[in-house]
Amino acid sequence: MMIDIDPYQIKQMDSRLLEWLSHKQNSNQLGTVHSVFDKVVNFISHDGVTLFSLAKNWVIQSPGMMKTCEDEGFSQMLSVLKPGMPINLVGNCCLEINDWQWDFSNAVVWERDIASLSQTKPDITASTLMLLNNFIEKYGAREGIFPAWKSFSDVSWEVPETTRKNIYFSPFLAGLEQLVKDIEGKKLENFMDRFVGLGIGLTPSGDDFLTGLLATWQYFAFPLYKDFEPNQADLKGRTTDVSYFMLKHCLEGQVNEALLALLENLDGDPTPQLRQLLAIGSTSGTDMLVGVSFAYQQLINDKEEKQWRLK
Amino acid sequence: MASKVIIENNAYHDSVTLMSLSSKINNYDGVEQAVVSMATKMNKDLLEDIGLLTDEAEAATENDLIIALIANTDERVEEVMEVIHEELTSKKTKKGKGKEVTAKSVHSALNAMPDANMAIISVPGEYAAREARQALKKGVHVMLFSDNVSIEDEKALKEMGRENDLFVMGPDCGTAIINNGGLCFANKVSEGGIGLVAASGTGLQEVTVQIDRLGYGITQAIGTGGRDLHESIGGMMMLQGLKALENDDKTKVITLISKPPAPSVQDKIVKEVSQCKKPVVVCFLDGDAQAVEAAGATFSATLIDAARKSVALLDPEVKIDTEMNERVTAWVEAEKGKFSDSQQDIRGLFCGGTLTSEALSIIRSTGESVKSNVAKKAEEKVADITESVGHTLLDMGDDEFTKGKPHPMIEPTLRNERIIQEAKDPRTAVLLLDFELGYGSNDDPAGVTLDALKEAKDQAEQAGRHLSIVSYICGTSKDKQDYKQQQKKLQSAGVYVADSNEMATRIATMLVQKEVN
Repeated sequence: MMIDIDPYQIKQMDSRLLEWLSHKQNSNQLGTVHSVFDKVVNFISHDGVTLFSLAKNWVIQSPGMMKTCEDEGFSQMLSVLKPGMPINLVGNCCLEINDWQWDFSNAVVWERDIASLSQTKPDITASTLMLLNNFIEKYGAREGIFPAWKSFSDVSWEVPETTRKNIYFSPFLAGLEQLVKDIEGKKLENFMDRFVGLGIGLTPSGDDFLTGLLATWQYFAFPLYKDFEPNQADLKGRTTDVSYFMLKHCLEGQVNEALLALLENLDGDPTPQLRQLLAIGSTSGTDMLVGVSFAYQQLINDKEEKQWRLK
Repeated sequence: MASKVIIENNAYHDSVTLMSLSSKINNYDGVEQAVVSMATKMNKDLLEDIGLLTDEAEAATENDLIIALIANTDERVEEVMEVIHEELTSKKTKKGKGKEVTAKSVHSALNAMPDANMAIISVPGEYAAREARQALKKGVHVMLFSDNVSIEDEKALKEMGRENDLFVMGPDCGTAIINNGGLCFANKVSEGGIGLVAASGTGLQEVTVQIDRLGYGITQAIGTGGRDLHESIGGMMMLQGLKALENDDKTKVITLISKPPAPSVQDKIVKEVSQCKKPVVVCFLDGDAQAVEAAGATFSATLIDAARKSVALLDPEVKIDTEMNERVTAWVEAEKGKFSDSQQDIRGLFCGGTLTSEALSIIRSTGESVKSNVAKKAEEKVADITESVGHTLLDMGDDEFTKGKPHPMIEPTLRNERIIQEAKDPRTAVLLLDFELGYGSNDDPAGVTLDALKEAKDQAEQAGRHLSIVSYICGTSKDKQDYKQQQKKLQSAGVYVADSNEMATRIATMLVQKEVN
């Protein structure tokens, strides 16, 4: 047990998590360990309303996340952590998890969201879309939504037999086709239902796709999205806890740092940001990027339609 | 079609694990559909579409894991489910136990796990005997993977084990299967009525694999270490193993495997065998058939023969086809016609020592002159292990190749380099290779050798020659590497995959002989 040693240090913390903690009392039991992975531990508050995490420093910063450079202490703690163990607030600036203490008094505050990005938005151009699509084609993971997106956007593509056999291929393809129809009919009410919770993984591919898509539409103020009012409560219970909170944050304008960095660099050479995004999870990065590309295509369509009307 | 659905409650596996597992399983032979995903509503709807939404799956929540499988037979479903289970639990175990218990001695390991009754010791030879003694003092059986233990220490340890009714498997013991658990390098084989004791790692692997392929199984496979049948050790562990299996109710047939023992040790073992109440098969490569048969035991000259005879003793009704089929002879005829005049030699590059010895024995028996680094006879020893001359068989897992480098069963670089070297030699007609599957071995032994095999064929072709490659995969359909996938990979590179090491060797020999027998 590690009580006698100095607390480990938190290096960076999401400002909204810091604010949430500031409302808690000393010795307050905040919640419990939700899930444990090699690089990230998730915690859930007792009321189930807040999911927050502690991660190794090189993990992409995400909403509700705090990060540490103390890899050894982190790994040692991981080896004994189990879901259900309590996490407490000790004093004003220290978290205690099974006798392991983490001091966040010197943490750098991360306060980024879509609203905080430059309001001078990059031009929407066909060349940017081509760059995105070429990057996905060349480096994207093939196991998530990719085959359906590829088949949807390139009708001449011969779908491999193994892909057709994949049970997710048809629902994703149908979802994309219906989404285009919804946009043409200017009805977005139920489009998320066809993707939420669909696919393999802790954050199913459908949810990652939606995250990339919603973030892009929010940032570029896609006209149809302005009137879109999803009911967050409907999402609860339709996907995994971790993925539900990712979508909830996204609808509130909070997404991971890689996605934010990509959005604000789309008009330059976004290759470093694309690589960073693609490195998330197994297919999560690719699925988000497909969401960005799909949303961007709609932005181009909308722009072209407006130009045509002006003529 | 057969199917099965399993739910793991509150199972959190990272996406990389689930995604790679799903892709891997969907490519398995016989698998029609495999779903490993969280039980979200959408995913459950898809399961319903393919008829796999059981009541349990219906009741699963979005934080539960669904594992659903459709395959061509019930047996295949069970095999693949076991692979999935192993992959998921091994990942969890690695994570869960990462730094929980890091024992630096047998003493501290036993303190951390007081119920353990066997210690596997793999430390540098100079410390191994001391750790083994500590384990024996605590009443724990020992598997000594370490080599470089002196023969004096080996003798003392085995005497100590014998006095305390404890096994000392080793030193240099690489294979054992105890209570259906593979230790170090071992294959996943069925349980059954045959018990084995072997002073040979790959020999034990080959016999257990062949028993499994014949549809039978084993009780225990006890390793003794390669020196157990030396004069100074006197076969202590082989005798102790024989006795233990004789007293084991589940064991109906006993099989002993070794390279030829010292004559006095052979006498001792044969004497014990003659008093054994159970049928015994003795496979001493290059051994004395007459002495064994005089003791009332069954002699086998090769490993596959030992497996067949053991099965026949267990089930006298069994019918085993031992004939080489026409497909093989046709392939051999076709290949022979492609060689250039300079191509005369077999070059065997093995990972398994006993498989090398078996091949040596078989090629010698055909009248061909052959050299090897495992040969006992002076005239058969290779002069320089870096250069092959004539028919040459190399055990590339031997110390002289692996000092400071990983064993080729784990990491194939060493052998891959030699494959290219042999292909460049105008005298090389046939490459003879073995691949070992199972616990401890490389996750994709065929896959990591493919580039070298293709390059070898290209090198030969560019020089106006044709290179034949004959191989054997020592593994079962239950091994984690997926036997059929491994076989397909080799066949896709134009490699002939034989059903046993013996058959591979015979085919290689037929290729370089004037007539097809």
